[in-house]
This record gives sequence, C-alpha cells and structure tokens, in this order.
Amino acid sequence: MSITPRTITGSLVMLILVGLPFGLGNYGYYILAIIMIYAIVALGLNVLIGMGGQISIGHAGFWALGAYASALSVIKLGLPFLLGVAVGGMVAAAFGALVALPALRVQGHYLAIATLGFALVVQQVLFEWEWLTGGRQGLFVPRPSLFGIELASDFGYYYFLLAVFLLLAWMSGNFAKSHTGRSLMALRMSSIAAECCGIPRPKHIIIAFAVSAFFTGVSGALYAHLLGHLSTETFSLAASLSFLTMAVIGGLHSRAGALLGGVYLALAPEVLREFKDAQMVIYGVTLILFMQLLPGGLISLPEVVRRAIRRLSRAAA
Amino acid sequence: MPLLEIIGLSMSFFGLRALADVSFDVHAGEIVGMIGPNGAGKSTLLNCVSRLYRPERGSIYFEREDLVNRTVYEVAAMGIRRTFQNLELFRDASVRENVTLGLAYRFKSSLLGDLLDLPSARAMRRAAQEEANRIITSCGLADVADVQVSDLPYGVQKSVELARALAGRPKLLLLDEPAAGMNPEESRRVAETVRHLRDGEGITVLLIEHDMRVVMKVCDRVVVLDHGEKIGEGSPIEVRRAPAVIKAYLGDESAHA
Repeated sequence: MSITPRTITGSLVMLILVGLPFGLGNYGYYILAIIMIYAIVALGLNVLIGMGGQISIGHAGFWALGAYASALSVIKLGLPFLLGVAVGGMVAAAFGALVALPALRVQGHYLAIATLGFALVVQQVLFEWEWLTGGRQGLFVPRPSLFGIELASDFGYYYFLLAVFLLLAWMSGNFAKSHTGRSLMALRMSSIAAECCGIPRPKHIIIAFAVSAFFTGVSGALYAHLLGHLSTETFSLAASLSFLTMAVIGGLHSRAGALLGGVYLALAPEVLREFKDAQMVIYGVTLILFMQLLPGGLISLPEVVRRAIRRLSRAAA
Repeated sequence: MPLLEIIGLSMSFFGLRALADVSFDVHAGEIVGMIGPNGAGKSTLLNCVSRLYRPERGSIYFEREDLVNRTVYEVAAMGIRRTFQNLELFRDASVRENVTLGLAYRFKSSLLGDLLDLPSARAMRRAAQEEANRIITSCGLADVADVQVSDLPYGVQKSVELARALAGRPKLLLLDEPAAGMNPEESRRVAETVRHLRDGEGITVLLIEHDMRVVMKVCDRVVVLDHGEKIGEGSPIEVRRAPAVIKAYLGDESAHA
C-alpha cells in the first residue's frame, strides 16, 4: 500500500478513534458509543439517499424494529447478543424491502410521507402490543455480552461498536463498487438510461431500502443493549428527522461523512439543550442551510474551501 | 420470419394523434430507416418499441414475443438497445463507467457477494471491466476512457452512447438521428459505422435520420411516416420517387434546397 494523504488521514482518524475513550468518564464512554450507533444509521441513509436517490423520514421505524427484534430475541428466545443483533438487522431489512414497494410507485414528497407513515405505524403497533413489548412500561434489555463475557462498561462496548461501524463501512464501500451499487447510482443519474441498459429499477430500489434498513436495524439493536431499557417514545418522528439531518450534515456520499454525522447528532443535543423546544427549529434550519449551501455535507468542506481559494487566486491573478 | 413486427400501432397524446395504425417489419440483418417531417411520429414509434411509451393499440413482436407487456429493462435485456436524439448519458460518470453500465446487467452477482466483496463478485467485475475495455477500444474511445462524459464534445458523447448500447450485445439497435448535429464528414463516418455494425457484427438496425445522404447510403429499406401514418415504404430509390412522399417530406426539402 502506498502512502497517500488519504491513508495518513485515515490512520490518524483510527488512532484518535482508538485513543479517544482514555481519560473520559462514564458519560464520555456513553457519548462515544452513541456516536458509533448514529454513524451506522448514517451509513444506512447514505446507501438509500446518497446512492439510491430515494428519501426516507421513517428510519426511526427501522431503528425501532431492529431494537425490539434484537431485545426480544435475547429476552424471550434466549439468543446470544450477537445473534440478536443479526436478527434485528434482518427483521429491519425485511421491512425495508416491504417499504420499497410503495417507493416503486411514488417519489419525492409522496415517498417521504409514505416512509413517515410507516414509522408512525411501527411506533404505534409496538406501543399497543403490550404483552410482547411492555407497551407503556417498556422493556428491560440485558447488557451486551460476547461469548459469555458481559461488556458491563460502555468503555468496552465502545470498542465493539467501533468494530461494527468499521465492518459496516467496509461493507457499504464494497456495495458502492459492486455492479448492484453502481447500477443503483446509474438509476439515480438517469432512470431512463439505466433501464434502457437493462437495469431493473424495482429490484435495485428494493435492495437499496433493504440494505439501508439492515444497517439501521443493526444500529437499533446495538442501541437497545446500550440503553438497557426500551420505550417507544424514543422512536418518534423527531428521531427520523434528526437521522435525516445528521446524514445530510455529515455528507451523503462519504463514509467518513457518516461518522461526522454521528458526531454531530451525538453532540448537538448537549450543546443545544438550553434551547429546549426550539431545538427542532434549529435542526430544521440547519438541514435546509446545508442542503442549500453545502449539499456535500461537512466532509466536503475542505474541498469546497480549496476550490473557493483557487477561484479567488485566479480572479486576483 | 421478421425479427421485429410492428402491427397496427396507434398512440395519441392528449387527443393528438402521434401514431395511427402503423405496421411494418424489420428482418434480421436489415438496416431500416424511418423518415418523415418533424412530428411525424418517428421517435414515438421508437419509444414504443423500447417501451418507454405504452402503445394504445397494436402489437410489437420481437422474435415472436410481444413487447407490449414487457418493461423497459426487459426489452433491453432481450437484445434491443438504443440511442437517443438528445443523448441520455450518465453525465457525471466516466466513459468507462457508462460503457460498463451498458453491460452490467449481464454479470449478475449475489447481494451477499457484493457486500462482502467475495471472490465471485470480484471475478464478475473483472470480466465486465475487460469486456468494457474491449468495446471502448473498438469504438475508438480509449483516449477518453477516464474522462467525465459531460466534459466531452457532443460528437464524442454520441459515440459514447453508441458504445454503451453496443455493450449490451444487441440483436436490434435503435438509433434516433445518429447523424444529427454532425458535419458532412462526420455524417459519412456515422454511415460507415452503421454499415459495419450490420456487416461485421450482424446487428439489425432501425434508425431515424433526417440527413437523406445517410439514409440513401445505408438503408436497405425506408419507412415514411407523416402525421402518425405510414405513407410509404420501399427501397431508398423507390421511396424517393413516390409522389406521396415527395409531397409530404422530400418535396419540402427539395423546395428548400
């Protein structure tokens, strides 16, 4: 492997990610764990929005399905934690494929509303299904454990989450360069041209939703075991909206952008706590500003600045 | 047995008749031209064959299979590929990527293989890449293979679109004004290319063209459309002499010439 600025930056980021928890307290470990969990959702949204050109304001629905499927299969079926997480991902993926069916007919605003409706239904059903999900009382979820060893501290759990994030980031990179991923991007660029190349739109939209929901479901599962307690309030419209905001702000076309998005969403509530109910307004305005001014997200900032400087220096010359 | 049979095709847009009971055949190994004034329904017909439009009445048989109930991508996968009058490229992608996407559907891999980058998926990508390179070279695009399509001049973009269509190994190629916007020298080269595709590669061609020199030079048979109706059909020379055609189309042009 040759040494490029990219590999140097990558190694630096890795060093920081590995070294970060030291010296932080319990709350710091928790925030780091949350960053990873959010970043995995952002990876999922990148597949759907960045690659597929679809929209979803219902990802809290997939997140909830992953969380409850995993928690319930550990509690009720006695599955080991790792298997529970896999089940969470698979259940969410199956629902992702189902949600894709209306997406084949509608686009834009209508798709946004359809996904929103889906998330509200999921939240409501989980709430009403009391004997299974605990309804209002919620559900107590055991701590994560690996091969019989409990990850009692978020310090240890953070490293596990980091590994999962890296694994899924690797998978999404593979997907992006696969024929399936490239065909999906082709459909986004021109669906007429892509279909005239023999690329089936329905199949690829279903795959995009399923893969995106899988990532999000895995994240939900990991979140359930971090929190130790699940209640349906977590999986609200506000959660779906903040996921979308995070993915856009980090950068929809970059895995590092997904990580930045996770950092943003984990830290923003800490900073904005003072603003109470005005928080949602701030999220909304940030989202719109980013879409207008920096559609490539924070990760594209250095490139945008570089280009601006080049333009300025050319104008001066 | 014709390769493509068009039987009684009719279509209208908002009450405006675009095609009225048009029938003709294209036989394997033929180069058939469609001519007619603007708005005659030529592009509409091509769009019906590639199923971007759904005809209101009539049938389109390709190798005896009715295309009317097929989707756009099924028709493409059956071996009908096309180019567009106003280009329909993946503009933000490189030439190589455009051509590779033209043949991607033939190389199927499993989703798990894609996500985990299994050797099977990697082998598939390599095979597709090799074939794309072959096509890029044979279409004379090797020098610009890694250039983003939108940075290329119009004429080269047209070649990219043709290369992408050929990547699908079509049995039938639909060309919508391949020589539009080209100078006489370039038009001549287009005519040669079309000839070569038939003679060398055995590809059947149905094309729309306004440049009569190209039509006369390459087409075995010409179908003339006017106001959505077929008003003539025959060899280029026959068509040129038919009074109805002269009145509707060639007459116009010779009066201007």
